[in-house]
Amino acid sequence: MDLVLGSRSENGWAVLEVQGEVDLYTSPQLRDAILRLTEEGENRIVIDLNNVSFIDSSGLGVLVAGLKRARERGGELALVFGEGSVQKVLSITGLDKVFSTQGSVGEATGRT
Amino acid sequence: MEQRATDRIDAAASTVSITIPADPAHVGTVRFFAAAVARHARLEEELTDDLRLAVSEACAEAMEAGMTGSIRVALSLEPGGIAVEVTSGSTRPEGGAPGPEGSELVPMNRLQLIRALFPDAESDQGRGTKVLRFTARP
Repeated sequence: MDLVLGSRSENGWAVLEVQGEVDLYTSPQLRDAILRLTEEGENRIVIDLNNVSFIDSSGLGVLVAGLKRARERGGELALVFGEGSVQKVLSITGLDKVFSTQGSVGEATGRT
Repeated sequence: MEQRATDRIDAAASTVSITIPADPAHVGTVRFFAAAVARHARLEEELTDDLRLAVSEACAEAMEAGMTGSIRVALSLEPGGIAVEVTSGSTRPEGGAPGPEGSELVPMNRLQLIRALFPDAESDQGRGTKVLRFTARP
């Protein structure tokens, strides 16, 4: 089981689209994708989790590490997700108050 | 020899179990299995999602604690819910493996997260064996 990851640019932000389930097995793929973006000089990153059907604390750890890396470079990492299991696990862990979260990629990048 | 997940239905006791190797690649199989049992028990969708998360965290926690043997996940159908028991064994001599990068930054560890979902969650660890139990109930 692999994640499907896609990246693009929008309004000066790097948008990382994630599809699938993020767990102990697949979270390294997400980590590597975020790492690649920061190594390419991207420090304003939006991670689109709307097509993520599952995420556990392995995935949350990768997201928090990515946020920390972006902020160390003077940037930001925002999350986009709808109501559902992703929102719930972020809420339970209190991480919904740590990340900048938006309902759409357009809102996150300032396009809309 | 290829390691495979095996499942067994004990109809008399209404317990369904699956055994996986301590390999992260198989945690998704456990979630799929738990969702199927939850559907059979007619659990609500949100409770099913909670159950999937809890068994995923339990299996991952066993692997990170150094369990190298098989991990058995048993789901027992009870009135109104499902009793879950996750049993793992054969600790690695050098102990547990570090969690994924960033795991130390998450405000809750895996067991705390499971308890936030199912407050009766209990973990016992003896000589070479670890057992986690909780009940998925509305």
